[in-house]
Amino acid sequence: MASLAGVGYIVAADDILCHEESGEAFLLHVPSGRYFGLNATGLTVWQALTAGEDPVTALRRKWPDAAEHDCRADTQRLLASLSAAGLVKQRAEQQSNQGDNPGDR
Amino acid sequence: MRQGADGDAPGCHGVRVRSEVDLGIGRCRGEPLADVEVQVGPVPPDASTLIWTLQGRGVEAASQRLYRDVDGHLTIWVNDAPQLALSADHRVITVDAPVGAVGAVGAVQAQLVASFGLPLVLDGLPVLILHGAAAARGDDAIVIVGPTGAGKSSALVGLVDAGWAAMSEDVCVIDLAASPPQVWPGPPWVRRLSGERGPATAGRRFRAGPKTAWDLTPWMATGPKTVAGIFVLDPPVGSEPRRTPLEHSAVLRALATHAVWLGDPAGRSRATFAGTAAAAVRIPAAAISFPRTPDWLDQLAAAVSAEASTTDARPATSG
Repeated sequence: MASLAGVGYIVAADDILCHEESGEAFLLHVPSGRYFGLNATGLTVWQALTAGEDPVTALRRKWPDAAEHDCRADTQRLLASLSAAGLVKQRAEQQSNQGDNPGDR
Repeated sequence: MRQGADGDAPGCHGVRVRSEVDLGIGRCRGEPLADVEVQVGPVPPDASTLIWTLQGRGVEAASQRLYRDVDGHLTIWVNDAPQLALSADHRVITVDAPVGAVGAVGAVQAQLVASFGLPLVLDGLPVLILHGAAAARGDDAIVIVGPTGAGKSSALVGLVDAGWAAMSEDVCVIDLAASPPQVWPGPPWVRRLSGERGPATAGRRFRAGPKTAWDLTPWMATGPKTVAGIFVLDPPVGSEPRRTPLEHSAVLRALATHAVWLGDPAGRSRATFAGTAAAAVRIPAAAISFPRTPDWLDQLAAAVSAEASTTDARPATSG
């Protein structure tokens, strides 16, 4: 997952709680009871995902001096981790377009 | 009602208690987190919806069950008898009167109020309730969490013997609205298995199943204290004491494990998440372990002292 072409189609999974505290954040995957920590970069990406925004754009807005390819690479890595942890999913319409759910067509 | 004009009233865990009888659960000094009235009388045998069962843990090592009735009030049964009820608005606790008691409740009722009733009163407030022990030195306190049998009550006894003030032996209420967070004094006892001692000159207070409750009154802190550190007491590893600072994520996981949640178990992680996350960031934490040498409590006291203020230890009664 998380080829950059798919970034815009990735959203936060259901039943995730986020708590921000002093510039960092924790995620709780409620169904499993597992916790995850996010640093400032991760929090920015997470906030972009939950707002339906491109995470790379959000990172470059927060850190204008950061190179775009670095932001993309960071985003890719984080999305891969979030996906592996079940914290993000593909948008329903993207899944449908990919033929994952042909019954909805 | 026995509340004093200076904010000194019966109570513990930051809950100020109004009662016509002496509950023996300590004093609540300062601006309380909540108020509750405690009445002594028959507890109706309501048992609509079972919320949880504790078997062989908690008060008296007996079976304890919590029920919620249709109107929202809660009832705790011990073995086969209803012993404590909390009104739906969390303002009135009713505890059963032991046979023969005049003007005072029994040890079971006092423990139920301190261990369950008052923490339930705090539900919904910005507090984190931990299963752990706490002690204070000067204006700072440390909280020790760990699995059952890790040595939390031993640590509390050792710290009291080393000149610390006692805060709480089993349930630690941390006020997260305070900046920095503060822990409130619990009831004035420490329950130890038969054969385990209390503080050096402590008297016996009551029997609690297989345990003896030792009286901590002379050493109790008199009000809330800043939580300078949380220590996760791990089982002994190797032959040397260990002290390992914990990253915030690790602290969160540890606190989540030891958070007290008295509501529906299915809602535990959701209900305790914000409090544990806030505490994980705001309070320094470390994992500690000590080989069980004869002087391990001295080593523990030395290890946690760095977190507390350098103020000289003083008699707890002076505050």
